[in-house]
Amino acid sequence: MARKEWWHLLRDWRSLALILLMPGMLLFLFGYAIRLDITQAPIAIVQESPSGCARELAARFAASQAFQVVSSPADRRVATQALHAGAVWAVLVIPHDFHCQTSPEQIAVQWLLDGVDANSARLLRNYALAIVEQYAQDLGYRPPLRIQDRVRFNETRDSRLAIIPGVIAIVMAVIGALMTSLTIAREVELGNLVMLRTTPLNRREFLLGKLLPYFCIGMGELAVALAVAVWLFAMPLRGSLPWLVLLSALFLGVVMLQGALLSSLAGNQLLASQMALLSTFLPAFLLSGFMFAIDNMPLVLRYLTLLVPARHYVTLSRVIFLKGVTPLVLWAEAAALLLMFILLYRLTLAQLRKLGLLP
Amino acid sequence: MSRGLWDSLIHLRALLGKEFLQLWRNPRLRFFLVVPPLVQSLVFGYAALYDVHHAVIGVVDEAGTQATRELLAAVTAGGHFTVRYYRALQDADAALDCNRIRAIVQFPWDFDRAPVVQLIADGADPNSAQMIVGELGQALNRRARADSIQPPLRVEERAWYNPNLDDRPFFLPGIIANVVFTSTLMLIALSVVREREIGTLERLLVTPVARLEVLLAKMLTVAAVGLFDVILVTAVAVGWFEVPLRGSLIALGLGSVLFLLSTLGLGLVISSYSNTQQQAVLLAFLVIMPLSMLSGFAFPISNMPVGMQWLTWLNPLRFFLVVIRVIFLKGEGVSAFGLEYGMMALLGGIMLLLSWWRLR
Repeated sequence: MARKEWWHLLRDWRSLALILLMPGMLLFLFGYAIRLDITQAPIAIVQESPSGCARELAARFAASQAFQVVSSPADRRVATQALHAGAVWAVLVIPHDFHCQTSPEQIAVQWLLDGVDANSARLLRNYALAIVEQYAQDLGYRPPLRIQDRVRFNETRDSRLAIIPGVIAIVMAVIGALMTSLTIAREVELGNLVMLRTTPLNRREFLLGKLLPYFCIGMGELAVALAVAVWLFAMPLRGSLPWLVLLSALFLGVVMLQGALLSSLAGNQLLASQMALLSTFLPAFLLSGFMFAIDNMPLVLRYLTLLVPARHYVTLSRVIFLKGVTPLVLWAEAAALLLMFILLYRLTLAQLRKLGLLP
Repeated sequence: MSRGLWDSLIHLRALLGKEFLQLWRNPRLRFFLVVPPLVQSLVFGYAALYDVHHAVIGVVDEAGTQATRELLAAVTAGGHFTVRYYRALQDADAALDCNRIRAIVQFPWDFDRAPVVQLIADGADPNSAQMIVGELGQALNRRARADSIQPPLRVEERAWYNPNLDDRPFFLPGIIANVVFTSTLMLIALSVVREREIGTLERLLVTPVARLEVLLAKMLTVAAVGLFDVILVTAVAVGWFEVPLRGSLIALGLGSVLFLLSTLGLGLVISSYSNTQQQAVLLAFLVIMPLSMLSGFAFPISNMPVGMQWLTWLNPLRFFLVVIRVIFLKGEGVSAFGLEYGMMALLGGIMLLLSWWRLR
């Protein structure tokens, strides 16, 4: 059975090429193109005050890695037009009453943001506040409270370190579920299941034979993805590699069974692939905590994420990659994956029986 | 009207009837026209939030004075943070290790003499870490400065178009573009490939209808589905999530039609390269993924390396996203989108020509 499936796979070289190409492309894309932290955001500075202090403040904004001053018009209307047109993301207005003496009254500088991309706007706000705060302290202000902040496990605050473990999860979820979702549906569609009934093959053997080749491909892709992550993107692997591989294999098994179950439920390839994409890619992308923190979601959705295998896997792989603690600390996530595996295996076998595959 | 054109119209009507009937008769397909867009917009509306709305933080208060208690009260007052107390920093560290808390606030024992606060955030999710550190720092500063000398400088900030910096008005319009993109591309590619796979395309082509008519009927059907999705998701965004829609609906409609040209063209090109539905699905996915990642949908284009920024000019989704977001939030009319409309029409035209050449 497995040999037949291998044969199928190898004969259809287009599909095979696509499967092999996909993880590399995804990792490349995510690794290079996707950054949430901001560098060189285009801003405009309107300097209405001629004082040296105003120049100094403007120079500090210009020197920051986060900003790139693309225009410094004298009129704030020119700058706000640029903001409306999307040419700059923010405008700093240093008003004409800005001066160097520290007086009892505060002087306000204006920071106008394009709020359409709310996340970028929030980051820009924080950067600007930090620069102005530092400048105020250099002018002789003694703050009543000093705050030291530190980001552990990722001191440079590089978003890539968090994204790559998530990408590996997405790649495996999609490949595993999409590939297997098509394979059983194809047999149903072509009517081969009825023919298989006349052979001595049982359901377990059928399922194993169907899934084994894809499992091997999936593990091969995992190896490629890990190599790319560690060597190309200099991803630190602080935890144990055997644990990572073991848990990845478990996760791959879960998503493949999910694909197989959907496939046997759907009965045709179009529907099976749609269902597989919808039930793996989107949740892996949105509900796994890979992009969006689960703590922020409404309660119902937070419980719903417990059903998403990628959520548990992303948590585990991030901890293994970045924190380097043994995954036994997170035994609940590993147990959840194991439970899903057993449950999906039972369900798939039951569904195969309904399709008339004996015994 | 010439006889040829009249015949064509009759053929087209018959073919359209067939396509819509096929779409409508299949209950599972019918389900898949409505449910995925709805699920996507609801899930994105509720889940796609970068900002911190809720986080559990650990507190190590070694000083335990009136001042530190007041500062902590200020932190929890916003309702965004739930506090757990730890006796020593090591305990809090261990909790951070296994994801029980997202950040640590530590007041050292000599806080009375040197008022320093330590904030430690979990960098396994750097975006959240930055937001949490930022928000905690601002809350602490506000409280500490309430009864002492104010700093000489103050930032008066204003966010245009989205004063509360809410993530929803950013994501939900993007969902419209994404839903239309994926559903129409898949639908057209698979509907052509399915007919070829089961052999009905051959049968259609021996009837007096022309190849162009068959394709046109399919495209019109899928385009109708796409426009329906636009309306559906817009209704959810505006009606349920109360995202403002400030610009002109005509500009939105025109943009959608121009965008559909390229998704349909792309779908047809994909269908021409695939013999089976499995190949078509994989190929479509391989095309959809990078185009949606490199569109500015979730990740700003200007953060990408310069080479990739240039590549995004070939991406129709990028232009449609600009049109949709500007219409929703900034409120513009048709005249504002010369470049975007032009690029979508150009890319769509190229795709359609390519598909015609490939399918001939």
